[in-house]
Amino acid sequence: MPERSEFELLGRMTIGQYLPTGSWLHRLDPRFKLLMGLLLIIATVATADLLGLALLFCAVLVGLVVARISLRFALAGLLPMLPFLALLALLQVFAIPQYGADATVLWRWTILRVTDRSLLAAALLLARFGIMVLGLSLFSFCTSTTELTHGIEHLLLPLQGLGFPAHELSLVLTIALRFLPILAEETERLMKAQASRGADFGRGRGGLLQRTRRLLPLLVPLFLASLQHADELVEAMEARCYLGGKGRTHLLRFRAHPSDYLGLVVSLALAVLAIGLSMARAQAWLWHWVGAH
Amino acid sequence: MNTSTRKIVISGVMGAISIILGATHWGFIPWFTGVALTLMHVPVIIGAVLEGPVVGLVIGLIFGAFSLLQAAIAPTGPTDVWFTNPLVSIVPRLFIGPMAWLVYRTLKQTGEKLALIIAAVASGLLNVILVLVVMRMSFLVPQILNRPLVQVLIYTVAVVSALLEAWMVYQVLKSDKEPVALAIAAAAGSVTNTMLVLGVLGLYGFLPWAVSGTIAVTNGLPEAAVAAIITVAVVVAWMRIETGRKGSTV
Repeated sequence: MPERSEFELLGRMTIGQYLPTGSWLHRLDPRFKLLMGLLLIIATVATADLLGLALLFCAVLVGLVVARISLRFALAGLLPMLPFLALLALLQVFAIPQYGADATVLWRWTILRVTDRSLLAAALLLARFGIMVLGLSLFSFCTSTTELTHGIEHLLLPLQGLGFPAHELSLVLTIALRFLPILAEETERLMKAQASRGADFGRGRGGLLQRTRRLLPLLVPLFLASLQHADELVEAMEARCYLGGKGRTHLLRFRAHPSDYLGLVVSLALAVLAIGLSMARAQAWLWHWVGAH
Repeated sequence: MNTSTRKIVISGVMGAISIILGATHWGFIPWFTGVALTLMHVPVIIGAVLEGPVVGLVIGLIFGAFSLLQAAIAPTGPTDVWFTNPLVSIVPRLFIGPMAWLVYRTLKQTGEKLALIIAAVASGLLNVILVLVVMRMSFLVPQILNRPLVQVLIYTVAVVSALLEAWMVYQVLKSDKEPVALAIAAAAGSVTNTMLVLGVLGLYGFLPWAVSGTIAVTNGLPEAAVAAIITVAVVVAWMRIETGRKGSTV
């Protein structure tokens, strides 16, 4: 693997890759995919039971298999976070006080106490985090950015009648996504230009004022160039008679197929099952604790 | 020029800058406290000051959503796990833009008497907050801060600085200098970000209040200063470019 120079920024921009494997999940209507993702997030946050979370985790794994994504690749995405997760779990176990006077203390050493509550809290934290990350990765593997913006816009369209600017917001998202590679290239060019004039981007030297002064020759031209791009884009849009979202129709029209509804029903069932399990098995104190976290 | 098209585009572009600053880690200045100073809220402030509170709200939304995504997919430290909660990452950030815009607009349009009142109230509040924060920090060195002599000293400093600030703010409001208005608006926006995020973290119990108070001072103040410097540099340069271009109308 070639060494990445400090100047190449585009390579570092892979936040969530799109892997077009053409699976059943990929071909779903993006609106339904968004709704399914939302259900997953809500279920993860609302479930306070390890069994429910395990259910959701298996569901995400099944989703990855259906989407024909290599499980090893997806799980490798969790690796860089493991040390931080371990640290946070330890913090949860030792340092964060737990509610409930009836928590059984399992281990005690001077001021450190490990109760079963805190162990449960740490386990829940780890499980929730794992599900969220895998779920988000699954979503980004299956949905391209155009699908995403179209999906968001079409989902919010019914609200347009109530005055919510659905079209404008999705246009903002589209513009932001479109500008990312442009700005990354621009920053790369700026870094090289400044470095060729003797600017030093060595990290960690000098006090706050020096570091800010070193950043200014990068940041100010970046902002100014983007504002310039913005001006040109506005002119271009108006030259093409862009009049806003009123009465606007779309080239791409989404039609819901039975498989979309199937996916939605399955995720709804899973969410209800997970939350139901959590409510059935937990006692009142745990539910109150979930509300506080 | 159609203002709503402009607003949409500026929101998108500033949102993209915020994302870039986060993704390439340029928006983070390493800091001795271990928590890096963030610059990602600066595009929110600039967008709000240039185009209004709604634009600031939208850019704040993009900033928040991206920080949530980054915390979930490519975290840079243990604290990132807290930011996977939208109440911590998105909701506080919605207020940065409107606050900065409000402060900016108020500073640009104040009369004489109103200026005095604002100066007095602002400096008084600021000092109360500073003193409270310093008191909270007493968990660090309780012996030193509990001595009455030190407390008298702190209160004297508070009163003197209150008077100084009142005078400075009054001068600023009277002279109607653009860069200073921008700097204060940027500082206000940055402080909003710091306070609200730390506030939510404290309410959730993730951080004890003493630690939040310390971070607010050690990180929040430098962040506000850096935000002010960058905002002033960018907006002043941009407005000069704007007015320069309007020079020739054929």
